[in-house]
Amino acid sequence: MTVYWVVWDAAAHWVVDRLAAEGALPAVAKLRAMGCRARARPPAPNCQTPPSLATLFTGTGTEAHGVTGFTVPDSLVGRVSGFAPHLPLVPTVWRDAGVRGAFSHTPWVFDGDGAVPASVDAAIEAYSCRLADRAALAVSGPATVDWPAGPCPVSVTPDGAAVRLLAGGAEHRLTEDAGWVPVRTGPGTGFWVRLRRTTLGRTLVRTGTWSIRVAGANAELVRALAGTPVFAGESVGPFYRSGLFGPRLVDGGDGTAEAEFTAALDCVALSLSAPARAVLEHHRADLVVLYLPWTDDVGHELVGWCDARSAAHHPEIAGQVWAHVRHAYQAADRVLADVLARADVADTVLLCADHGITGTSHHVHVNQVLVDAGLAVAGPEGIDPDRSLVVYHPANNGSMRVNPDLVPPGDTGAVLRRAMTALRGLGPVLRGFLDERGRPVTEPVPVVFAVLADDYQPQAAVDGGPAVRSAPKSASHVVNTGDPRLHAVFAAAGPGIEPGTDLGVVDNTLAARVVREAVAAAGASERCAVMNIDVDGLLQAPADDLVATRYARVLEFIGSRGLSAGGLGAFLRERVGPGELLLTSSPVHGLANPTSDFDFIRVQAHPISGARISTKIFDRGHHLEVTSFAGTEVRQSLHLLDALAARPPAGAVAGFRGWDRRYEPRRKQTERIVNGVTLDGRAPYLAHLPALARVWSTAALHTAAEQTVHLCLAEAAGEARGRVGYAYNVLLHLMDSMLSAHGDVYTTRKWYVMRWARFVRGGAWRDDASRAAGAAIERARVLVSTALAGGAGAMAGTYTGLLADVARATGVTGSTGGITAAVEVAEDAGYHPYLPGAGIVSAGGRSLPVTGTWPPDLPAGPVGELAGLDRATAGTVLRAVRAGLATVRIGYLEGSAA
Amino acid sequence: MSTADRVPVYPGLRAGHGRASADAVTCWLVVGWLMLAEGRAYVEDLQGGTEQPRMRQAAKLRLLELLVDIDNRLAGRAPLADAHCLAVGLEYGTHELIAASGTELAEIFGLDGEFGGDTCAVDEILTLWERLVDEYPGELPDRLVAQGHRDLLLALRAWAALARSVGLDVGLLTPFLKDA
Repeated sequence: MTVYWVVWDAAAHWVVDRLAAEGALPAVAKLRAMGCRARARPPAPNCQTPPSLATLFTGTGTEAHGVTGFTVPDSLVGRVSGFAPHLPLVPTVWRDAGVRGAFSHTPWVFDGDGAVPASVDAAIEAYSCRLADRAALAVSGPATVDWPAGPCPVSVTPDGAAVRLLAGGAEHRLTEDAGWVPVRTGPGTGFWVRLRRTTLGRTLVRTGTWSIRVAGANAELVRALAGTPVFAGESVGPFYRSGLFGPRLVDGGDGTAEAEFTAALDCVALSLSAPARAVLEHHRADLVVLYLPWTDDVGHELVGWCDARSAAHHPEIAGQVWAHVRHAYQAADRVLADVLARADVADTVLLCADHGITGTSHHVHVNQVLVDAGLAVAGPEGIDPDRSLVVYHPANNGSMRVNPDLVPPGDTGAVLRRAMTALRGLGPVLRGFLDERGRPVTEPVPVVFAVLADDYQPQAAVDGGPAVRSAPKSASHVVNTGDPRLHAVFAAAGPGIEPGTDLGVVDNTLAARVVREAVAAAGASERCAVMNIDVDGLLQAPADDLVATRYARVLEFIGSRGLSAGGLGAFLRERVGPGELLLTSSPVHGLANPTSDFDFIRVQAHPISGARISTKIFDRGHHLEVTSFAGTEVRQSLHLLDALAARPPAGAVAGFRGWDRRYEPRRKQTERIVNGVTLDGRAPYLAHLPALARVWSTAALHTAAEQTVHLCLAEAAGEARGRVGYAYNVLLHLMDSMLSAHGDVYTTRKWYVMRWARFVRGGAWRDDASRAAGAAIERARVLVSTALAGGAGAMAGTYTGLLADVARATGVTGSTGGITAAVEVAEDAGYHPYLPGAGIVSAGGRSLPVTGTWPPDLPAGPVGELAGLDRATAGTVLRAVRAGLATVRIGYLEGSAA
Repeated sequence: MSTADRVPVYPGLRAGHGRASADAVTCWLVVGWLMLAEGRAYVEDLQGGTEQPRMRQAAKLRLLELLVDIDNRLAGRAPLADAHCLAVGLEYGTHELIAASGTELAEIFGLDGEFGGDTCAVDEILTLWERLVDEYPGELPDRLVAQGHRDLLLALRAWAALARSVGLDVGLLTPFLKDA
């Protein structure tokens, strides 16, 4: 089970609501329908990104996590980044013991040395290493000019209508119609660049230059992350605001500037979506955190013009601007859609934002107010700390404090009161004051936060200009004024979350609680609750009997090799370390022979660090193999197993077949774990046997159905021997389905026939339908070989009947249900005429000549209908299926699932 | 002379049919792995399960499927899904690993015996396998014994260099190693 936590920076509830109402965010709509929704209050007093993310990721307020702003004051005017590795002061959710996490550009994952804890599956991050800011270069004259990006050499040479840009050992030929182009300056570093006409003439414009860092235990994911596109952390807002691309819409422009801003923002979306998708594809984590910040970028630049409650609102251009906002959010919605597609029924998905955003019309230069009141003195680089009695902190987090070097302790309150009075002189621009915990105050406290009216945002700069002036950015979020527009989006779906619930306004600490509870719930899932079947019921006998039988087999096997269970356990603990050792495979099932090995699975308390490698031990003629998993991994797989068991057949099979691409332990290993026996005679995971039986039986039946379809096609196509090849496999998988349905589950195919013969001899059928289906399999088994000599007549009818019998007996379909089949041509299949009567069909990089009509007219319905195809059509279809140009789709009649 | 003694093995290799370098290296790395890992494991089952004829019956079907898969790869065709290997082998035979018709394969693998009965003939299969290993281009490590693991590591090292020499990454074997 995995918790997927998607964070859209500055995704205000009101913005998302409006876009969702337009139908622009289908993934958000889907998530909200699947689970709950809320409006989440960001932290106070400051709700810039670092404190808001700290609240989101720790589940605590500012007073606990200590991140008080984008930068955090550490002295009267000194400050550190709010993203500094020593922050937040309380651990994030993923620092909790046992949580294996995968992260895309999430802060506070890497430590100060650039390393990650062993519990990190994989992480990528770049924001903490920006090598160069955005830049623009007017291109004129023929000479080559240097245009370094921080430490990275870059040279530019005009070449007619183009420009040749040399960076990182590669030359890029840029033209005005090429759009934004990624440029690597070295491994993991680079920028995006664009050649276009600007107010400077022909101009090269580039994004900032960042260096990514990647680390973690999952080598496959680490490799995938390292190979993601050049990173761009933010668009080119300063150039947009300065009018480099022409006037903004709000300044009388025609939309060209917004189009350029959005085109650059697309680079950001691409470079952040790619690692998010790599994480989704390759992770093996309990918790996945995907941070998508471009919604903040578009929010600051554009959302305010569309905020009808703000003085920044410009209704005459709001419609045009909103289209760009929609565009940016839709890119984020597509990532959420991928998350929902990746998530299983056992998984939890959260969509959160750190804070919302409000329109901003004016800036208030707070220090200028203090200077004008004679409480502070301007210096060459802002406020002068040596001569100011009170400072509005350069961290610009809303806080004011008294200078302890100039003001005696007894006068602190009086000086601060004068500062508060001066600010009150701003009139309605000032709404009041908060203390460090976000509580309203009217009298001085050691640190006071000024709360401005929503259209006004504080600034620390002091330059002698008016204290209140127009704001260049359209929207912001600094001090939490309590305005609902600062509420963040919140939606969550997963086990235990009631669909369609509106929680109203919640604190944004809720998300961390939901994540912690979801991870803990997975850990607590030790029983097959969804099945409502216990092991005794499945086996029609006490589970203890099965455990005792299996342990006796295990002891016999160990004894036959001249060993003892105790000695073997001690030996293995010495070689592979402590943990719960499960002996698995043939000895447990009473099938071992002289060449059987000792296959162990070891479950350890701690996460697996480094590459996952089985330990192979050759000792005194014995071959032992030990594969280790973390307890959290095992619980995750068992939770998935339980969830799949509760699904309808097609869904269970889809999850079964996709299992190994997503989870460790893989499905075969999970079967071994459920059936495994400890060396002291316990079967600690046997409670999951009913779920295992259900899923494995359904999957085996599904494979048998596919093979039956192949058999029908082969017989119709005249493949007298080929159909027998399929018949063998139909029988094998039907045996497996029946055995699994009776609780005798064992993945390895070589044992199917032997186990089947043993089961038939024992005659422990659970009901008459099973007994009858078993007898039918037996009749077909005895005759199948004779078909190779042409002695069996038509086989399709016998085998489709057999399939239906087993489907009913195993409970995969109800007594009136049935299995259907259809053959679907690959979506990308293309037909190209070759010669009269023949063409070449290509799909997925494969091609095959076909004769006759393409695509063939195929029936879809009961499996047996395919047996009625004419010889030529059946041959064409069968060849297309074998070549991967078409697929057999098995269906289960609606309402028939048992 | 039995059918297993008579059918030609590696006819394309013996004829000197060349292939594009990257294709050839990919093919022989994958085939080498399938032979030494999966093939040897099935053969060990056939050799060791003398008291378990029904296990051998299922194991020999898997071995035949594997040989058809290998044949397909040696022929340079797109890999065939497991689901079809047995049917294609029995209907159309094999051509590059073993030049044998479907009838000859059925004979070697003793498929005329009762499926699920209490006997299982494997001598012909073992004869064929011995020829396939003997005439394989090089000594296939036996990972089922202690010494074989060292040999396997040496082989993987050589394979990594071989893959690099044609611009490939030996990581192409990862899915096969995971399945082993």
